[in-house]
Amino acid sequence: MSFIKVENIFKSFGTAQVLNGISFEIGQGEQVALQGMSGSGKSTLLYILGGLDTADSGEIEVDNKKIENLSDEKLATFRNQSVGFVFQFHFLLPSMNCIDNMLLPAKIGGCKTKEVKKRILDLAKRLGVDHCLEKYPFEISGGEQQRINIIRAISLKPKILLCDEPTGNLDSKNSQKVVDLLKEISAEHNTTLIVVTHGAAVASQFTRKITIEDGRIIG
Amino acid sequence: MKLSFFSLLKIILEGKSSFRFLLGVIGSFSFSIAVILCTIGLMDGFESTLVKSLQRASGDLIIKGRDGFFHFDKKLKDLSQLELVKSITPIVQIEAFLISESVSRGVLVKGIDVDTFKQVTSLKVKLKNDEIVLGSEIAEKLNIKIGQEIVLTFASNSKKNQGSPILKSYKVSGFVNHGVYEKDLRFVYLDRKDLIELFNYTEDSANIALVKLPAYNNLDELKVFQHDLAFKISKDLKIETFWNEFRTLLDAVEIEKLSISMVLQLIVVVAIFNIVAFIIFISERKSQEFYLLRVLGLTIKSVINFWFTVLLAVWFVSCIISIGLTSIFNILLMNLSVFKLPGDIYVLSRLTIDLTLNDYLIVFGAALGWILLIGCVSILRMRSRTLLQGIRQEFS
Repeated sequence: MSFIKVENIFKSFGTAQVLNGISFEIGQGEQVALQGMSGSGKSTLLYILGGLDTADSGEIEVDNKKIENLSDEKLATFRNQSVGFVFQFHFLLPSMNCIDNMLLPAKIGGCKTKEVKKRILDLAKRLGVDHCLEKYPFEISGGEQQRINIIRAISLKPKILLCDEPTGNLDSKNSQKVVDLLKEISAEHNTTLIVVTHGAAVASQFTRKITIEDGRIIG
Repeated sequence: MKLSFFSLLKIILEGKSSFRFLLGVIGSFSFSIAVILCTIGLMDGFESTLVKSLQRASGDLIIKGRDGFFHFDKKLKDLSQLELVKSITPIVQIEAFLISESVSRGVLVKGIDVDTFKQVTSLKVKLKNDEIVLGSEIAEKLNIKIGQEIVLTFASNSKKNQGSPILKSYKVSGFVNHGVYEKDLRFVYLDRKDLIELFNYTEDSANIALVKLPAYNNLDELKVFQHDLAFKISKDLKIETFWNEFRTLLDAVEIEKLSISMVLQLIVVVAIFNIVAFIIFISERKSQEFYLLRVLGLTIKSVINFWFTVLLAVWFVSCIISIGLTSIFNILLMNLSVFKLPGDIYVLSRLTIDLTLNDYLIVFGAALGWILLIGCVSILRMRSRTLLQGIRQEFS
């Protein structure tokens, strides 16, 4: 049974047609690489799936919920509770230390931070960034920042983990570590993982690949 | 636990420039509000000080003979028996020249009955036979000391000696301060009996009577007393309120207050532009933070609520600071010699800031209106960029 169902999605920016009738289904816990050239529309598709933007037409169903019908408030709750985002630029707030950065989704969602904090501490220990908790983002390395970013994304046990070029800013060694980590976490929690990448090496590590070109799925 | 207002505030104020900008915004806004408060307060202060001073020197109502002199005992003495009147005092008022050490000045001589005069006015006048009390400014101008002899020159009222003056010397027994420059410069007080004797008037002659009313709450109530009393006195007498002689000036001050307050709104608008600049500065500088928080689930409603809370806090803090600034200016106004006014131009020699609760409510209300109006426009401008556009621009 499909967990994410995308049907005939169209999206344009001005005169540029970015998505041109995209349809696919992804099952719960599935790990998918969304690949394509720069400007092919893969990131736009990812953001629409994550509720950061809306399609011009078509339907998107996530966990039996049609997200195009959700209000701004409900979309915000959807982003907070159901989706975890990992960006290429692992943006952490410079005015907060790492633990506060990781607790942000919990605070925004009004969750019990005690439980979330325990989970975050366990993850930090497991990912080897427990020594960074009280440090500020500028005091830690790029690799550590990306791991903190991943912990923040999964801190509320989202059903979907959406990653936009998560390794784009890392060297090959760290890239491999991050991909392994994302797959491991996804498998562990049955989280649907969608990774946008234009690198064939990263895409090859996923069992399912969706290739987009000029706003259409070609493979 | 929710993401608190202070957590968001900490995010936007991270960095010295943001914090300094906010301080500047609060400083300029509170200064603008203080300027308006001080201006309105000065005008109110002028009005209330003048009204109090006039009341102090003239009681509540002034009765004048339409044809000059009248018989006080016959026409008005019985008024004091009415519940409507607390006390009444007759006055003989004549123009004269005061001569002191070969310097002369025109004065208004007021012949008073000391006992009843004290009941009606708040002026402290002590007089014996052939003694005179002078307004404080005239004494200062002519350098007259207590105990000194001065001469008053009156025009003769006798047909036989028409054109020739009547000269009489008096001993200065004291000075009186009316609180109104013009009165302090022109008024001198004698015993009414002295004047009646000098001009051979009948014993109950007067051309003015001052009336003290029972307690009243406001000047409108006083006008009702005036109206009621007008029916109880002879038609050849007219009755005026104590502020009547300065009515035009007081009306002008009211109109001036309104127009200046409206013009001064421009200062608030200028300060509001600082606030708009602050919102734009923070929105641009901290847009990554705001877009990230929205990606993580913060609603646009929460962002707008946060900004409105910031604006209300800026307004509230500015109002408090402006009250402090106004008080400091008032202290300086009352104590520094540089703020002493030329009384011949401004009627009063010193001004104070007098603000009522209404004044504060109007000024603070107008400032709040401006901040919400322009703040709304600036905040709604943020909605024009979609979340995706924002993320693309900020994170690429």
